[in-house]
Amino acid sequence: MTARPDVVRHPAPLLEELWKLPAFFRRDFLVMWSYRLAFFVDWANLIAQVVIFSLVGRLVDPRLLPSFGGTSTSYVEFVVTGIAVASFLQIALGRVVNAIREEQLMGTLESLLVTPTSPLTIQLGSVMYDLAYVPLRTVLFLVAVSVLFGARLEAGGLIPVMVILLVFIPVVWGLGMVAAAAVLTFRRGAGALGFVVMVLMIGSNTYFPIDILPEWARSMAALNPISIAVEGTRAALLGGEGWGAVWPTIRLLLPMAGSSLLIGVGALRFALRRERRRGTLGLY
Amino acid sequence: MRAVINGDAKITKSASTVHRELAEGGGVLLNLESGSYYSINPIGLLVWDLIADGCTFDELVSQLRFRVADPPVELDADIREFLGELEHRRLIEVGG
Repeated sequence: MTARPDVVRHPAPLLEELWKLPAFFRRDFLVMWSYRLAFFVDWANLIAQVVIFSLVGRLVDPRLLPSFGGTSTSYVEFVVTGIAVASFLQIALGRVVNAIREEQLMGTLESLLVTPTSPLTIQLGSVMYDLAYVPLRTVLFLVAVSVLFGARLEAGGLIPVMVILLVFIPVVWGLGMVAAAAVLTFRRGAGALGFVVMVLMIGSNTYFPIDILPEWARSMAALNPISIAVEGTRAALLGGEGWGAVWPTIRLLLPMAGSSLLIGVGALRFALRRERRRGTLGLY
Repeated sequence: MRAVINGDAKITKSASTVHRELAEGGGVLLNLESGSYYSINPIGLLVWDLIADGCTFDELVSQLRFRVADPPVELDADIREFLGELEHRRLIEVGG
């Protein structure tokens, strides 16, 4: 044995951190696979939501709906594209927040955070599975609606929509990290998150055109990241703009994605440091 | 540049550092302020145990010479370097 003392900083280099991500992916896939009923119920809920909106759509005069690329749309076509983005936001946001909450409830948060793994790796690892699954789920949902409800969606717009959603992910992830910080700090901060999401949804074009909002809300809705993502999705899928819809959309989303991530990382780091100092990391 | 640790310098653990001994030898130090983790080898752990109640650098080295079998000639320099690393990472405080 050497008599020379040594100290080594953990976590180790970036590559070693990246190697841990597949382990998170495998864990979450196995967890999902062990709760298959929840998986199917999620899909049943989505389809039920579309059934409701297709019935409501019979009451809506299509002339009141905006046209995309000169093509008029039915309410079902209008709303499913909104639902696709909205459910993407809800699921992705929920998973980012619940990743921390579930660890807290299972009593594994402290154990996970005392491993030599950076908090950012833990956050990224916790949503690895969803980063792959949620965009895929959104596209499958659009295909299913197109087949089951006869919604006329441009197949060539699916890949451009996935690109828009990929840029939308950091916006959602940043919001999720702020919410996760709130959960760590206030234990049940997820309720506040639900309220914020609701406000964002109402102030967007998800379920209705923003033209029907009051004047002051219309200008705010135009800056709402959900509205921007939904607008791009509709231009690609309903207006047939395909790749032409991508750049104008991501040009607006990119600065929002950057700021959202910065604020989220800062908030989560602050919350983790505070809880560690107080020794209340595992309290829930 | 780091300051040289004198023989009568008082070495104490930082209040924001906790440690755990590992079954396979050595240990892990956690800085609660920064959230950073460090692993130390068995000799590092012995040093960590010896400064539990605070001691001067000279006291620490003489204790180590007594406890370590066949201590190397450059033990002083090694320990000084090690403590310098710990201080730099805010795991210990060096006074005087």
